[in-house]
Amino acid sequence: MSVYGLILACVCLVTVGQLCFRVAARRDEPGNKGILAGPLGHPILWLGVIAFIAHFCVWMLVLNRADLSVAYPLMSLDYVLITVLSSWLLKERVHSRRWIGVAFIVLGVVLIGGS
Amino acid sequence: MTRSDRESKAAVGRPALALGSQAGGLTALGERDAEAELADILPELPEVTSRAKTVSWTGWMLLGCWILLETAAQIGFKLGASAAGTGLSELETIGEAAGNGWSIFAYVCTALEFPIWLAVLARLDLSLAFPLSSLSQVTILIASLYVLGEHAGWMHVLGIGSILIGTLLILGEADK
Repeated sequence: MSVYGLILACVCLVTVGQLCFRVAARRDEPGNKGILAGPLGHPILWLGVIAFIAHFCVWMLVLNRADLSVAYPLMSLDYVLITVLSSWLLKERVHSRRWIGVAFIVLGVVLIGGS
Repeated sequence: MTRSDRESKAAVGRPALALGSQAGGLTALGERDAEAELADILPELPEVTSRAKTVSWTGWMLLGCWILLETAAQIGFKLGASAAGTGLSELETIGEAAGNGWSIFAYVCTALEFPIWLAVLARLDLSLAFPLSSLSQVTILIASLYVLGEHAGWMHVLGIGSILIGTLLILGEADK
């Protein structure tokens, strides 16, 4: 797999992990126990943990094969992907100001990480 | 809003729900009556549903803690790794760095970050919390200038500015 494929895999794993964490942790519906649902915590939490560990392993491969100044700015794709999927799958209400804010954050992370 | 506040408001919704299921067994006319009764109770319900939109101050404070812990962890890892010095083999360097006091401080910070992040996500939207967590990039950069004595170029300054503008835009929206 090319290094860009690995970076994309990393981005996706972070996104899946964070979506799982949010689904497991959210308590904003009445009667939702959040993280305490189930004896070992919310089952989805563990999917998130697995995605997080897998992301860490793939990230090591990325760092082994690419410069951090290339890999790190590309990881800021996460800010876009997570916002898009939070809006789409988790039905979070994302207004125009939040989209513009995310765009500025991506630019900032690219500037810091790329230099 | 306190926890007991929230529970009492959640409880307000229950009689209405119970009434709704009773109505299921009645005739069409009776159902309409039940609906009229429901309408009397309903004005109280919007408060229950709007609760989710209420900005959680605990959530903001926890997010602030997460950002500070992430900053402390990264500075700790850097201090721990630097303390190992140069001229050692790779394995010796890892061994020296991993056992350094600063590294142990960083492990503790990292370990605390996970439950705190889950507590943040219990209270704030992911599309709100995740972009805002990028503030840690700014605090880490500032800490590396003042604590580690590193230097930053104009690209870093522009990057900090851009992240801060993005953060303010998102916070401004959440404030409404």
